[in-house]
Amino acid sequence: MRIDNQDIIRVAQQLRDEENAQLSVGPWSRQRHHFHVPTWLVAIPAAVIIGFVLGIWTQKSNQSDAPLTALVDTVYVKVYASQSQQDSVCQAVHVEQNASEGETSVLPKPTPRQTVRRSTASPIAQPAVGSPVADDHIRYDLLVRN
Amino acid sequence: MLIPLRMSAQSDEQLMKRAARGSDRAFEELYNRHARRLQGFFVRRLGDDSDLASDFMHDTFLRLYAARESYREGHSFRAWLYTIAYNLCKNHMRRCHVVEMVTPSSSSKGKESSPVEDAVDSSCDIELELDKNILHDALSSVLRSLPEPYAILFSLHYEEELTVPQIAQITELAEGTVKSRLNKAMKIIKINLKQYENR
Repeated sequence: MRIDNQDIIRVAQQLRDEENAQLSVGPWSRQRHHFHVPTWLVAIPAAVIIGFVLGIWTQKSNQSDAPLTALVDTVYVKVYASQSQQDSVCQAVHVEQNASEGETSVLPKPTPRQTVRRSTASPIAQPAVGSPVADDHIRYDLLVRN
Repeated sequence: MLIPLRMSAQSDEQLMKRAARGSDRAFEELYNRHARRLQGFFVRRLGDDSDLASDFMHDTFLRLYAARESYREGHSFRAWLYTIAYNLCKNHMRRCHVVEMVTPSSSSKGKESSPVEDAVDSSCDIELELDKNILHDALSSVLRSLPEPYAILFSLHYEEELTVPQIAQITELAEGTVKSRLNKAMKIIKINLKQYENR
């Protein structure tokens, strides 16, 4: 078949239509990036607003707790003590007791365990007066005055 | 009583006039009409890179949107659209140093011409005998290998159906130059199609 200019133009337009039909084009509204706002311009005011709201909330929370806090004279803080800490506390208490009973000005050195004399007045099961370490292994001797 | 025309019934120029006055709906209608075809133009010009073509199409419409208030009544919308598209292509190709685009000085002396272009200059009329089915595939590959000053003019005139004065306005070439280059483009295509004749 003889090919002339019109055939070439017609086939070129046919190729164009075939190629264009395969394209996927998104809608205009989704592609308008010219109103793009930088991230920092959003993040900084957002952080300021969140901080402001949190500050007000914390202040209000403290104010609402104030009457309740005023009623409480002592706050007990629970501190879980390990077994080794319990022993050292007991020893310290015994040493102080011995020192007051004997009215000696010099306290025995705590380093060797054998030199510390156990008080005969207190039983071994309940070693310290005032029980700094309770049976539930919680120390109640740390008091915080309000 | 005046009844406003439906968007789809309005011409490109009427819609652009409305868009220039601030109607986003009119601009969206223009986008819906021309986006696909413009993207296809970029795909063919930028070597089948559909993502890049999509970006360029998007960029063209963004530029058009940004400059919509400067639209002057009576001017062709498509010529304006393709002027932006042509300039984007030209800048891209300059950056890539791939080919030299059509500029008034591009027919410079000292530029080496290809054997095909030399053959075009010496040939008068080329007769071509080809099967229709072969023509489809052959033309597809021939158009891809068409040298750039001619390819973009062929695309603007025959594929995008812009008139010679519009192309002259877009490319800032004289109308006579556009016509002669289109004529030469057709001859190059025919010469390249010749090799498919006896297959």
